[in-house]
Amino acid sequence: MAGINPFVRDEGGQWILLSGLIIAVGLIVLSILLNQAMMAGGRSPEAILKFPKDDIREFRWEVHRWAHHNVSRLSDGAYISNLTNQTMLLYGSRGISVNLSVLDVNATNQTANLTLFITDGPTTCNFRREYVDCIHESI
Amino acid sequence: MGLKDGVFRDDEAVSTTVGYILMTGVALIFLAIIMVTCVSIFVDNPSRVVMRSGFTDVGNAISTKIVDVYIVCPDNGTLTSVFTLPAEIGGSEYKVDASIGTGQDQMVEVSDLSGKVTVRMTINGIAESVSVSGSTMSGKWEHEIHYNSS
Repeated sequence: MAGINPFVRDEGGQWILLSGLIIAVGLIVLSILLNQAMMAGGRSPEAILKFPKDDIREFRWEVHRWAHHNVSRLSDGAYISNLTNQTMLLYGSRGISVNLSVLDVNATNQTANLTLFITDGPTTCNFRREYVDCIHESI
Repeated sequence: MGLKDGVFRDDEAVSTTVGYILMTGVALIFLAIIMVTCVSIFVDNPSRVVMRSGFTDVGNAISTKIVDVYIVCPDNGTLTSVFTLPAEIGGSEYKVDASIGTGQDQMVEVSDLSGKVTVRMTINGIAESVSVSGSTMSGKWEHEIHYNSS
């Protein structure tokens, strides 16, 4: 017996073996938890959320406001053309394309019908007949 | 008699080497069984969690966009909004359906093609005043929300 290596015959490490087993089970449980947790985080698809809601409202409001203050010039073709160009330049600098034109004007009732067009590329909004009432509308 | 005595009365167990081989074999078989049976824990469940989370994002985003379109849409005119969606979520293609339910209870439903995960989002009852309909598949290059007043 003296010839056998005492390291091989040493049986006093039962607690070490048992603790090794406990650590192994613990690692498996942790890896399952981690596996579940790391998948939970997500990133919202921002491309869907991009929508020029404020630009559309602002453009529409600006046109209404402008019409209220320039009722007498709504029939002036040259003035409208100049205004359209100015507005296109203003919005163009923000990457938005706009256009507007006057369909008809009722000078007596101070009402008008306009067409408005606004697009930022993905979103296109076309107001075919936007009614402006310069007397009854409050801006 | 001698054999019986040898098998049943032998209380010295096996040698260290054979014992080691036996234990390793049992552990390997155990591991193999665990690997086969735990696919649902390690693969299916996480992918379901990812899908549910991703579908909720997509459903929320689309329902928000529909409501946004409703808010700024012209009384007389059209509004078209083009957007992209992730082609796959959790390794699965999915379908977005905006025609679930009617009126105030109408919802946007996002579901994977196998039907394992389905998520529904409300559209704040706007279907009561405008008709909302249509569906799209995630595999399409572009998706579109179109409003027409007439």
